[in-house]
Amino acid sequence: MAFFDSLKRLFGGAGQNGRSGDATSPVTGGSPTASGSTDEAAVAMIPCEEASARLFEYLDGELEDVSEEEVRRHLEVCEACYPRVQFEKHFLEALRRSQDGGRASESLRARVLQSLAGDEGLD
Amino acid sequence: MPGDRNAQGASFSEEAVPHMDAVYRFALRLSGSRDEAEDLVQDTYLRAFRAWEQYSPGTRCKSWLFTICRNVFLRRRERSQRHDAILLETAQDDPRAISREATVFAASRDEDPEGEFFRSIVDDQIFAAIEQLPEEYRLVVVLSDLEDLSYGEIAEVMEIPVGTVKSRLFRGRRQLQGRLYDYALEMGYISEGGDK
Ligand SMILES: [Zn+2]
Repeated sequence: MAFFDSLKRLFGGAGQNGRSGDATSPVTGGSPTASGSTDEAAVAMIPCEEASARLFEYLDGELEDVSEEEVRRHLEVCEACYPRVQFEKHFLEALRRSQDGGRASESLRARVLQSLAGDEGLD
Repeated sequence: MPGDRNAQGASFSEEAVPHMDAVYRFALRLSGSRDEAEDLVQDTYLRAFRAWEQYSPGTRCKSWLFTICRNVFLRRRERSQRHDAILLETAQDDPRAISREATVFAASRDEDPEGEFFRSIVDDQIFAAIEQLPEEYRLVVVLSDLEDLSYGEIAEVMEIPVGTVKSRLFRGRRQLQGRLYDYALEMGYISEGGDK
C-alpha cells in the first residue's frame, strides 16, 4: 500500500507540467483570479480555437512577436489543447526522424569536387 | 582578386560542401530520379562556387544552396521542353486527402488522441507518403520538416510570400497526416475510430 501511495504522490505532485489531474475541467472563460500568472489565467486569455490555429507556428518556433506570448502560454498549459499539441508533435517528430534517408554517394561527392577543381583550383 | 582564390576555395569547402547530402536530398525530391538529382547537385555546386562571392554570410548556406538548386532544376525543366511537366503551380490536390485534412486528429481522437501511431510508421512509408504530395506542398514540407528551414528561408527558396509558405505547409501536413493515418489503419497500428 505504501508503495502505491508513494506512487500516487509522485504522479500527483511531481511536475505534470502544470496540468492538474482532472481532465474534465479545462479552464473556460471564467474569471481568472488576481493578476494571473497562473495557468488558468494564461488559458483564459485567448480561446482555444485561436490558440490552436497558431499551433504549427508555435511548434515551428515561428511565434516571434511578444504579443504572441499569450498563444505560447496557452498552448503550454491548456488541458483541452494538450492532446492536439502532442498529436502534432508526434507527427512532426516522425517526419524529422525519417529524414536520414538520402545521402550523396561517394562517387557523386568525388564528381562534384572534381568539377570544382577543374573550374578553378579548389584544393 | 586572385590572391583571394585560395581562401575562397577553403571557405567554400568548409561551408558549402558539407551540405551536399542535404542538397542531394532536396534535388531528389525535386526531380524524383537519382540520376537527375546527381546532375542537379553537380550543377548546383558549380554555380554556387562561381557565385561564392555573392554569398552573404548572414544567410544560411544550406538555404542559399537550395535556392540555387531549385533554379537549376527549373531552368533544366524549361529547357527540356516537357511543358506538360510544368505543373509547378497547378498540381492537383488529392480530393480524398483533402476531405481527410481536418479529420485525422478527430478520427483518431478516441483511440489515440495524442497520435502515438505516428511513431510506428517506418521511414520508407513516410518517404513514400511525402513523395505523393502535390509538388507545391511537398517541397515546403520537405524544407520545413526534414531540412529544418524557417518560414522566411523557405519563402526565399521557393520565391513565395511567407503567408503562402504557412498555408501550403498547413495543407501539406494535413494531407500527409491523412496518408499516414490510412497507412496506420492498413497496418493495424490503429483501428477505425468510434463505431458510431
Ligand atoms: Zn486551449
